[in-house]
Amino acid sequence: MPELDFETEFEQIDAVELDSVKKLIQLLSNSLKSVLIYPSNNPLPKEFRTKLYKGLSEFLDAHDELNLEIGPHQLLYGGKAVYQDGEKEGGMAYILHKDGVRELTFLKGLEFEEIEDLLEVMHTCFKSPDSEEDLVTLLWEKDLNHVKHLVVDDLLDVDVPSAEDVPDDWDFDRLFHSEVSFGEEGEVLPKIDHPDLSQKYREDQLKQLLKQLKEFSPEEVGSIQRALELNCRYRSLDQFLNILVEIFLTEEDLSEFGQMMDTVDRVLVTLISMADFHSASKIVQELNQFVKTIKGNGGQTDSLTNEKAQRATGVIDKAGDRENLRRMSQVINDREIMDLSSADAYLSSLHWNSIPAVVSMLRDLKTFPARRMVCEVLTEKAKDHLELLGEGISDPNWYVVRNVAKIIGTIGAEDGARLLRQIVKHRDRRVRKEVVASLIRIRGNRAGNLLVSFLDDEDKGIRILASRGLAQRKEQEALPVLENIINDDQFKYYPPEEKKSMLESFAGIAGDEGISFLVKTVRRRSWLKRDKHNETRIFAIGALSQIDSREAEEAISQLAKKRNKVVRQTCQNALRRIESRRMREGQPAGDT
Amino acid sequence: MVSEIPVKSREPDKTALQKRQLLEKGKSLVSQLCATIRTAQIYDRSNSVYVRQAESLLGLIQGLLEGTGEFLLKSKEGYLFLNDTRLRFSFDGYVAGKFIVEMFRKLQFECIFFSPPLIREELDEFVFILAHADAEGEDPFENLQKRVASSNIEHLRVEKFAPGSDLGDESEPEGQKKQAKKRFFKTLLVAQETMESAKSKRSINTVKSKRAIQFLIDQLIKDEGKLMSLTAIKSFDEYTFAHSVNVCILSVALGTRLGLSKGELSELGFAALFHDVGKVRLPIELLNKPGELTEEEWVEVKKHPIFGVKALLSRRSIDRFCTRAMVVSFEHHLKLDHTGYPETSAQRDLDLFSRIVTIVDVYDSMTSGRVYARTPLTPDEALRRMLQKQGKSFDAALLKVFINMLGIYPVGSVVILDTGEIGVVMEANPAELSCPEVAIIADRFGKREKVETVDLTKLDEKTGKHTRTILRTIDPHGYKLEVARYIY
Repeated sequence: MPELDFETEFEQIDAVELDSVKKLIQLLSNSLKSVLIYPSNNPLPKEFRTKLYKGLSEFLDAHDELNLEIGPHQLLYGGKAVYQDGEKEGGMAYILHKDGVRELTFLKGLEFEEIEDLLEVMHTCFKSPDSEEDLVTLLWEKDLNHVKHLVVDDLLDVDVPSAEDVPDDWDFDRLFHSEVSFGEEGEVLPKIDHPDLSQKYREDQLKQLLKQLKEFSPEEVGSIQRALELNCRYRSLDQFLNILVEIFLTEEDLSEFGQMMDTVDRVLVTLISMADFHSASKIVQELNQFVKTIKGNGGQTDSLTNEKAQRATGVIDKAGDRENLRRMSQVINDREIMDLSSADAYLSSLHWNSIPAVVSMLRDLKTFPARRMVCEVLTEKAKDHLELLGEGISDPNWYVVRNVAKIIGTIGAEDGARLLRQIVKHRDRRVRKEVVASLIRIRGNRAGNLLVSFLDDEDKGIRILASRGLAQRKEQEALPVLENIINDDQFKYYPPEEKKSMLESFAGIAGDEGISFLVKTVRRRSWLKRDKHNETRIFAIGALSQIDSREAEEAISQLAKKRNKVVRQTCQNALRRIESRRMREGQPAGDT
Repeated sequence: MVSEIPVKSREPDKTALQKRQLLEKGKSLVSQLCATIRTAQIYDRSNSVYVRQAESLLGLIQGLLEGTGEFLLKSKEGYLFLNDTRLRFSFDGYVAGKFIVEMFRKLQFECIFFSPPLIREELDEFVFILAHADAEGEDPFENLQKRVASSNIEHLRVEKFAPGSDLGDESEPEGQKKQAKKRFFKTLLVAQETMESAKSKRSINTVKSKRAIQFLIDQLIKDEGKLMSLTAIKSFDEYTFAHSVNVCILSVALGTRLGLSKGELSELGFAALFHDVGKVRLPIELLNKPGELTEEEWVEVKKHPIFGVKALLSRRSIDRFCTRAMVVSFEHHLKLDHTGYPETSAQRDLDLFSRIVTIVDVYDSMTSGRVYARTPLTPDEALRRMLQKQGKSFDAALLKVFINMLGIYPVGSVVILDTGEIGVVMEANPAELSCPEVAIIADRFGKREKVETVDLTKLDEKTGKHTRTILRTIDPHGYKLEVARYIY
């Protein structure tokens, strides 16, 4: 019978175990990477976490614990390497080791949320390795029951002063003379001479005090519970900002004030880098409030006040400069931030002179929702500073120009037309289309005139849109241009939808004044391409029917007598439509 | 395809609900166990007060047994666990939780196993054994186990600490005291180092402070008495630093009683440690001035809350620890009714942490007597004066929790007992505020022999009354009595 080779068997078991630990650590690494790479709404990180949790639970069911030693660049299990950081500094082992963690132990009973917490902590330290975030503190705060860590710390290497340093020369006799009665052995003590310290009095007093202290009234319990609830929602930054403004207001040393402003400036940069736009917006709002308060302080503006206001304004301006907003765009892009309300609040809190930098965000932001948010901010911010949108108008990227055109249209101010004029011939049809849509919404002749120019655009869709917009605005300046287009010999060759749009627009603008021109268009003869010409006639009758007046109805009735079958039938149909429309509107036929 | 996460994760609502219910039941069990044991310390088994408590306890245990089968109540690192679930206590359940943890610690066992079908007789026997167990004998656990084994208890059993689990070197009182001292002094050094940085306007490195505070919190959770007693020593050379560490320890201890999480305690400890950081910008002569301050000097001193904010602002980056510390630095002299300083234009509610630090700061300052050359008050006198200002200077409910924590005779109080002995209070007793642990420093004839520590909750077997009670406190300073010698 061969002897059992215990050593080999042991090594084999060890190898299997080692292999499974290696796989688990790889899963841990992948889970961490997935959190770093993918946005929070991506399902992949959760899949990794679930796999990791399942794997670890199975391992711990079999082995009770998984103890990892942390080296500077590797993780060890039973003295053998199970993970090695990559060549770049900042791997999993490095991050743990740098803050002093020397062992990480997973225990049986591990919960899914503990895995999530561990990954969250590691993620925090990974994303900003140079920050003062301390991995050990974060792990300790998470207070994980089944993930333990051993930290190397010099905390307990401290010399404790000895008790001999404390003197012992108390005035013993005096104490016993004045406070404690000396008694003979067997005598009942103490001999208290103060009436207030009689046993009965003392006990009553004590009972009363204890009762008062031990029992908490419902109001007291409620007040503590309210305080604790408030504490859960507490945002120290908000409170801190209130305090900061208090200090700004009373500060009389300009150099100290300047230093504080420098700090605020740094804090803003940090907050933006951390995507904490909410806090950043609160800071800018508070600074705005501060400037408003000191400027409006009874009109007394001494040099100190002026200087303080100027410095605070400088910080607000810097908060909205190109560098900061480029940083903000990058953060939004990198993190694929979906909830943009706080970013909106931050941009809204900036001064109007930040508009060009905000416009440049339209170029830097990658997602549509983010750009839409910026458009909404600019629509509010640029109402009284349209000229500052100019930079966006000349931007090389068509989507920036289009967004700016849209903003100008939404604002709807007359001056907007002057800016849009620069891009009526923009090479990209999407821009020109947006310009037309915006011009339709802008008041004044200048916008109308520009809109007329689009009847000549190379793109059919834009021409149609412009003609409809002109009709909507009842733009009289467009009538001669439309007449020329319709009278042109080539008009019959226009695509049917364009012909229809031009004729209807003409009718819409001219009203009864245009009846004779439209009748003339129907009556006009043509020997070539009769079908195309008939198509024009049909649309002209349709346009007449839309004028919705007795004169127009009369004109159609007259045309209905024509020999041309197409014209006759179209007119009859139009008359039926007019009749049914009037019936629907409750008007007697022939009455407008 | 990834399989679903098993039931024990937080994903399914049903499991979360079950966990919450289990937690609530666990907290009720601890409260009731505490109440029943304490009743058993006073009354006998047939007394109706005890019967009511025991029946409630049995009902709770049976409810848990029906739901979970066998279960265990475990103490680990100062926390209580029901099976694997940690029980978290807020201020109303804190005393009971602490009582049970202390009982486990003193009797040196780690857990109690409960198994069905438990009957009243067994429970009564078990409760009475625990209530009258000798914690001061040579091997408390062995004594306890012998008594359990010799009774008819089948469905309750206790287990000793697992090797290397909880106590280790620190299981011995001296070991714990040593740890507490080391942690205290390390925090002192860190505070000193940090404040020196603030003084020279260098950027403050907060990582060391955070770590030191973590150690303090861990120590407080395990055994707060040892650490809190060090706060009663008012004779360390560097007053400002020692005061800051004292305020840190007492604030965190108060926060623990309120049920704050570790993260919150950490922030509170940090804010408390640096509440006076602004003082580093005041001239040292002003801080150490032996007499009363002049009007002008007071104006200067009153600037320190704002100086504190500025000192913390000078850090490279501002995190949640710093913003909270700035709020506390600014508000800790404002007083609840805003009659303090600095002057503010807006009336707003003070931060919870500011209210805590205000109470602790005033208490430590009053009992230290070094602040602006005032005469130190005895701890109980300081509390009495503070009670007069509740609702005005201090949050009344928080002050009450604070006094419940310190006891009406806080650590360091020098007391005369009804036996004529003189003692120094060594450790408060949250369950009986008037019965702390006292070191007898002189007998009734004035003899000073070996210092003996006595527990004032002890009852005379014949009379059923306390063997010693406190008559009153005395001012040690009048007799040059240095209490640090006994506490340290």
